[in-house]
Amino acid sequence: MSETNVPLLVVQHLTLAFGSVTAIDDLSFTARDNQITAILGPGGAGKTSVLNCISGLCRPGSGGIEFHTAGGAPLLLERMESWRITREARIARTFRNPRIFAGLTVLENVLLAQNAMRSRAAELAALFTSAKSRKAAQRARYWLDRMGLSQVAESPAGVLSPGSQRRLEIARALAADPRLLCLDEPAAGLDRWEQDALIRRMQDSKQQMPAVLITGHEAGTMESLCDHAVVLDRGRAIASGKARDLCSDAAVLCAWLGVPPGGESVPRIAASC
Amino acid sequence: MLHADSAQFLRPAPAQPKSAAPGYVTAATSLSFFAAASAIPYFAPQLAGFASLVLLYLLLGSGLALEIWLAGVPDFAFPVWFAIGAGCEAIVTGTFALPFWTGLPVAMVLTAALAVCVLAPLLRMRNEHVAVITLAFGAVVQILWSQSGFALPAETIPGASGNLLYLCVAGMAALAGLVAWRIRRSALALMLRAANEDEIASRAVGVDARRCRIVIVAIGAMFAGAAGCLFAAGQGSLRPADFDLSLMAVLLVIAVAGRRSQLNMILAAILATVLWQYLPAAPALRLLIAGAALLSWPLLRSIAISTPRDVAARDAGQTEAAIEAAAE
Repeated sequence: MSETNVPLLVVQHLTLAFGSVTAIDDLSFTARDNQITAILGPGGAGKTSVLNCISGLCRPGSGGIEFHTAGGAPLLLERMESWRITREARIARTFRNPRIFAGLTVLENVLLAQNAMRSRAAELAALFTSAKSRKAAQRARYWLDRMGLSQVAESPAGVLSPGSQRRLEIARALAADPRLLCLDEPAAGLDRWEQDALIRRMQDSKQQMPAVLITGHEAGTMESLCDHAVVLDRGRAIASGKARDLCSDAAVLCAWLGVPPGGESVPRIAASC
Repeated sequence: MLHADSAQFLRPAPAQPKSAAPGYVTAATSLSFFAAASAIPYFAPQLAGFASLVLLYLLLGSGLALEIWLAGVPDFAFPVWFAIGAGCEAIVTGTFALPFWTGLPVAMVLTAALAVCVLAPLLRMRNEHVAVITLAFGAVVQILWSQSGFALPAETIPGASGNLLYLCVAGMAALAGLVAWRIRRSALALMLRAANEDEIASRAVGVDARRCRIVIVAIGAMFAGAAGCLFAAGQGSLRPADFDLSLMAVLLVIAVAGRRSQLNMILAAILATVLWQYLPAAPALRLLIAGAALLSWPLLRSIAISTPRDVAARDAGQTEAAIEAAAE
């Protein structure tokens, strides 16, 4: 627990623009080890773009993303290719719309993530290793079990319901034994019951959880778990701090509702605090 | 009815058939294939020439099938790799006067290295571009070669003849089948299947699709180099006409037929050899037949001569599930 406050991911003056649209505007924040950090904001605020920059799927226009490893110099993620970020920095991510491999079985989806994490000459090593060695399958089944998917391990992943696909994606990310787990709106598209089930599963595995970076468009149950939150609006950070304090922040409420707080409609963000 | 149709439409991309056969069964099948093939010259010597052509087609077909179906690389320059293998054999046995089998490792290594050099930069591009460029590359090499007038007439490559060469061909074909089977069950195959399905998601789980594809391209080209070396040793000559794009058409037919089943690949190789042996005077007709076969295969797939059992079972099961869903 002594490492709780070690900065893990340091984002400095990050800027990303698609043509004339500025997705991220001079964003700086820090995610610490063993903590859950949330990036909150209404739709179009640039939350997914931040995750895309961190996981290397987008190249930022300017700014830096440092990832601190246990020993040695920090990795400069903005200069690394995405597969290298996953392998060397051990950052795993999920997508807003689950991107599972529909043609592979559920078990193979998880095995793939484990296999890909070998560090050097992974492709040549993979050529000589069996896809389903007993040891690997055992570890994969552990995560499927954790996410309640062991019953469907052998069926094609494409036939799963959206909720199960989301859990599979999280199992796949966790199986890679990441140091930072980025969850892009894990509650999106799930109903109340599925959300609760997902949260329960994640709380059950809390001991094995790495540091987590989570995005969300409302301060729902999932996001209220976080230790620290950054609120984005149109690519700019408008507030940061404890999630509880942010609920009463005037700028935050204004960004969400477009009106000053105190109106007739009960904002969801306030209700859930 | 509508429900059944929509269920079909929503069916996810089929998973790679999982062959239930454990390793020793496949190894035994491969060995018995080798034994049966190598027995042909003793029992039916008049068939030996025919059988060695079939085996060479199989060797080439397995390499191409790996590249196209597993790596997803449309490598239309395959006849060039075949020719390079043949050239290596000509140099090793002709210029250096070494025994014919020493050409085999040289051809395999050189061909793989050259194929990687040509294809590695191309793999940054989309598949359509890779297809067009490799096709053009193959055509240009063949045209330049035939216009240069360089050819080695018959009997100029010492090579080898008789049973030793035939055994080598059979052994390489059996080995290629075994290696291809092993690769399809490796962790690399899993990575490639994921990368071919969703490249962005595969990058997010740490797969570098380009490197994976390069490994498979090297292995496929290795098969082609070995085939070229053995072909040159048997033929004793080196002519550009043996390595033109019509060879590619035949290999495509074999690779398409052998997508899911080795048995289909063998049948296609036999058919192709029959066509090549009995229709030598009508190259246009052969191309026409190859084209017709390529076009009709998807249509005929439902009545394919042999479909892997688990694929058939799964298709049947899903159809039943769709019918049940419609009934409810």
